[in-house]
Amino acid sequence: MASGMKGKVKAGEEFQQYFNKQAKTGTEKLDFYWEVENGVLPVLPPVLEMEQRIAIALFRKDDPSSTGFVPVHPEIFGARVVPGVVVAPPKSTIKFHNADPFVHELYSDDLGKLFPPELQSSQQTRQVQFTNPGVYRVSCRTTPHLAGYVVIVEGVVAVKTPDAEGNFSFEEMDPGDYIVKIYFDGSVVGEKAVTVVDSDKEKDIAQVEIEMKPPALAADGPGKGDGKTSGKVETKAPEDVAKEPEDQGKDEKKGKGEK
Amino acid sequence: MFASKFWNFLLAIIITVLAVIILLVPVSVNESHVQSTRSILLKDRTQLEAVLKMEARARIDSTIAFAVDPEVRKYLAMANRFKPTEKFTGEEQDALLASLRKVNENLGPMAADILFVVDKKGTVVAQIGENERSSGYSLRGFPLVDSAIRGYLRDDTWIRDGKPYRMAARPVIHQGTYEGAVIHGMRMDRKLAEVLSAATHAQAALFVDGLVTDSVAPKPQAGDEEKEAQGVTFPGDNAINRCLGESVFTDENYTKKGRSNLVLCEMEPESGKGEMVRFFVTALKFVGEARNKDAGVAIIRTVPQGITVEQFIRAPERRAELASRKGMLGVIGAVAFFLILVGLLVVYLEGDRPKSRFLAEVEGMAAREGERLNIYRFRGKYRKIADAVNRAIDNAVKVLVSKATSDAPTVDKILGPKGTVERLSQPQFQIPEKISLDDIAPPPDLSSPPKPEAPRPPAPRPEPPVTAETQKDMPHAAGPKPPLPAPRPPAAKPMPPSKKEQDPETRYARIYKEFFDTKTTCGESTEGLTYERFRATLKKQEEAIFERTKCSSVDFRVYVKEGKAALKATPVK
Repeated sequence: MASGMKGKVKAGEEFQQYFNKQAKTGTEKLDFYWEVENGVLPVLPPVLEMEQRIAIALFRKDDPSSTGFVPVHPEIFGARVVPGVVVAPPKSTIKFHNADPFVHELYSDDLGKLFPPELQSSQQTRQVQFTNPGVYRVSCRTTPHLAGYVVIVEGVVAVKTPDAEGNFSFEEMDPGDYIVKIYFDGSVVGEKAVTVVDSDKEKDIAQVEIEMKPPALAADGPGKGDGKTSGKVETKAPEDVAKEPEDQGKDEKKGKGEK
Repeated sequence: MFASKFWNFLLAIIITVLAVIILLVPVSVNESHVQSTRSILLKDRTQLEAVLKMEARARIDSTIAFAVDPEVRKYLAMANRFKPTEKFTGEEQDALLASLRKVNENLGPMAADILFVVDKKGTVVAQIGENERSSGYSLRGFPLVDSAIRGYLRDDTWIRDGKPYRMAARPVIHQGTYEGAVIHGMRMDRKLAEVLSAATHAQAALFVDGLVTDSVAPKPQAGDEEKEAQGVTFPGDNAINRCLGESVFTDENYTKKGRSNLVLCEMEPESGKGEMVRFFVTALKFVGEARNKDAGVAIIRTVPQGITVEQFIRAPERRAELASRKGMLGVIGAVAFFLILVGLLVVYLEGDRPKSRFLAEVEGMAAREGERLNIYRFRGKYRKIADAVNRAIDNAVKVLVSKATSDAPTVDKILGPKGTVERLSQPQFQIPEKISLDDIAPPPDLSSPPKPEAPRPPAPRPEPPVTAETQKDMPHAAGPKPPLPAPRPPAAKPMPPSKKEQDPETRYARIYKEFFDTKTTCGESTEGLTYERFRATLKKQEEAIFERTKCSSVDFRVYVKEGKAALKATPVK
């Protein structure tokens, strides 16, 4: 018997202000000669695309292991990393697939030589093993605005991406006490404890609603990558990736990279 | 002499100044070239930034042609109504592409090399320039696209498949709503380098990933002939790459701010010989995303090389310039010629002419035209020389006269030393070594016959010189001096006349005259020297010598002793 959890993520007022400010200045210094309003219609405010910027991670309260974890592999689409936040336990191997019709050159300063800039053609995949806990920023030399975050943290058992309205759900969960953490750009912006009961009734499905707060006000998230992470980076052709086994979790548990 | 000295001093100064100019001017000129090149390049950099900014604005403005095109707006609105699974293809896409191409052709120099039309989600609906059949992929992640679909006009720079593009975007508004955006891209290639080079009159080089992709040297303009004459050459891509890699990209300002300081680099000359060619380089990273890919533009100015005399003479352009400056050169030549003439005149007046005059004077003196040099005919150094010559002559005459008189026979030489037993005879009277003026009487009147001497009363007169020897012989040597005896009467025994002068008076007069003249010549005073006194003393001494030596006659000679007139008596047997 198994049960599940449903929830909703909301952006509080403070978080919205934080996001608007960040959208205006950007995480990278955006430099240009001109950015002027069109003079016909008022410009639209920046939109928080939850399905792209938010990751919801589930942790067991009494079990630090990540048994049964299945990682999410992001792809490069529209010159963005989708989803923008990937949460995984240590020794996870993450694949980055280039779905754009043009070349990217991904790298991570936090990984240093383990993930150096390298041309990645359309439909090509690079993968890297993240050994140590930490937050790793992945960037691209040809599209420097591109930013993806890989959060390596102990105890994570499942990760979901909300829809545009912030709704999410976890199914087939073991009963027990859980902690739900909301990640935005690698930082924890909200968390809540949830108890899942052993029931198959709809009314017993745990309901949770989490309001996001700016990272400084939210619970402490995992620390920044220490740069000492050992990992293995490989680039694969699309056909090779297609042949990979469905169950990648087994290999992830072994802490080895895939071939 | 002052003028010639001054002229020589002036000449020395001119030569020194010329030497200093020759040595220092090339250094100063080269330093001036470096500084001026640096200043100009700083202005170039400012101008380059302004040009890039205005060019970005021009590109943004050019996108309005697409944004207001009815076909573009219509088809973009249609694409936005498609479901996510549907793709904008077929006839509608062809019609949209045709409209885009037409508008793009009308833009002329601002035509896009690549153009995207994206819907309100940032998905490409159509594109021209590259992969024109591509669509359906997203550009939403680009800040340029995100800004444009929200209503901003913006510029940016992209690196797409390794090629740098300068981008501009504008929203497309249809029926009061945002329907998407037009993304306009122009390649950063030789055309842009030409524009930047023309705007700054400097060499412009575009680079991506730290390597030059295109470089353009400025086209020659009016007045650039002088630059060519100054040896201005432009570095090639290899030299620029080396300079960028070694000096510019390591510059702190470049890594932090994207704008390097001015860096001075060197390269081998094209000929492989001669001095290294120096050039200033400054680099700017492109504003926008391409910045991250080490893409930017460098502007270069070569420091003009120093011109040697040979190059100056051989350069035809410089010759033409020389011809135009002939008037000034003529003036300089005339002034130099005048200065040379003045110098020669001064040397003649103060050097050659006095020398020749002195020589003529000396030759005249040698030809007995004068015994001494007239010092008042000379000036300065020559006057001193003439005076020294005169003094030398005087000294020589004195020596000669002294020598001549010292060699003549004297009484002492003949009779032996005075007061000794060896002396042949002892005169009855004492011949003073010097005859006092008071002892000599004035000369007689030789025109009348001589009168017999009458006894005269004794007259007071100065004593004759007294020596130690004479004091012994004199009766009152130790006591008070008695009055001198009266002149003695003519000698009983007449003095034998000489062969030529039988008349003793004539002889006395001659001796007196000689003595008188010698004293005058020696500059002695002749006051009180009378013939009567002189004659009386002479006669007295003569009689004394007669008595002692029993000689037939006594010869008196006048001579100069120690610069004074003296008289010597020599007995003749």
